[in-house]
Amino acid sequence: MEKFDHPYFEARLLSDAALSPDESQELQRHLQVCEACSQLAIAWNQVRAELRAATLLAPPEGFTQRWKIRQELVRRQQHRRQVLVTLVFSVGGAALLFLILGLLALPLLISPRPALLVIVYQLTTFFSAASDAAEIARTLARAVGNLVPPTLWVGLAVAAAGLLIIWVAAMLRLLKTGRVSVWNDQRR
Amino acid sequence: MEHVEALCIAMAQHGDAEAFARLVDFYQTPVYNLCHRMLGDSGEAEDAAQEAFLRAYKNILRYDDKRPFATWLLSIAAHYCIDQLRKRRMNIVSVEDLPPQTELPDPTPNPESVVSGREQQSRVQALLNSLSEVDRAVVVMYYWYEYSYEEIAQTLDLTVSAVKSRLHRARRSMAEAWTGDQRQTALMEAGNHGEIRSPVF
Repeated sequence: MEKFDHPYFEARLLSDAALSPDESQELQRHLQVCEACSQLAIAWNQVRAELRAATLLAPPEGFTQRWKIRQELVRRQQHRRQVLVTLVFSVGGAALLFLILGLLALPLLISPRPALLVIVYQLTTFFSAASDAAEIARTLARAVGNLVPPTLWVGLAVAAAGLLIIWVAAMLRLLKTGRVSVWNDQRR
Repeated sequence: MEHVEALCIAMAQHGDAEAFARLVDFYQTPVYNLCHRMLGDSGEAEDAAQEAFLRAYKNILRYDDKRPFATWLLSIAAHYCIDQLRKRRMNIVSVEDLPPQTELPDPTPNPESVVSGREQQSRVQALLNSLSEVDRAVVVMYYWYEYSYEEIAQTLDLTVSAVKSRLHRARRSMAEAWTGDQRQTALMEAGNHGEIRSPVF
């Protein structure tokens, strides 16, 4: 009768850990008397040799290029999906808004007279308020015009004209050197 | 390379697809090999490897730089392949429906060594096919990438003791599969000899 059972020797056989001389001798003795473990040892040695001989498999040429194409397709699909979702939400929102407005406008369509009176009253009030605001603005402009000397007006006009010229020149230069298009390409 | 890799990862995290493409270029072979060893078919392996890189790119902001990038990448690929194998098993695909073993790339020009290489790859694949999905991933990481038990545990979300036990079980299964295959071959050879001899007697 062996000191240890099969699982003990199996663990020794299938382990990558180095065995001590005593353990190794013990295993060899067991292998001489146990056919099952002996066959397992032969089989495992063959399998291990096969595994160690196997090399890394490389993908066919152009893998990265194919990944770039696939990534671009995925990006476009995501973009399309986002656009579709936005569109659905916008159309849905607009439809909901029209529905609410329609429900609100329904009493007006049935009996329009009170509503028209309210609208006329609101418009009259609005135009009256606008006329008052314009009168206040005119009074203020006259007061400020009298306070500021004419030379300051001339100075402000010249400064504004200078700033306009600088802005136009900057825009022309930017468009001429093509900086705008390069920046757009990089963004894409 | 580590510096370049870190730079590419940082650029990819800022949305630079070209920088990530450099990482794809660098890691294509390890990721493809893992997928091929797991799935056993070059077409499926290509798809799985591409998908793994796409998922990695999508989740690049979640990458923790304390962990090696290769481990993170292989973890994504391994989990994807495990899912694919489980789906395949759930669909109960018959052997006839499985994709044929397509040609394996071998740079050696000698036809004999090409055949020998293919036979060797085919034998290894048959051994791997005898294992469960996770056991297969453990074996591939141990023998092809020389990962430690701790690294395998981290990559596959297992404990170290689970890795050891799975590796032991996988070795036993592969040895048994090899013995079974040898017996089958011996029986077939004996059958062939019998057919030849029968007219003589």
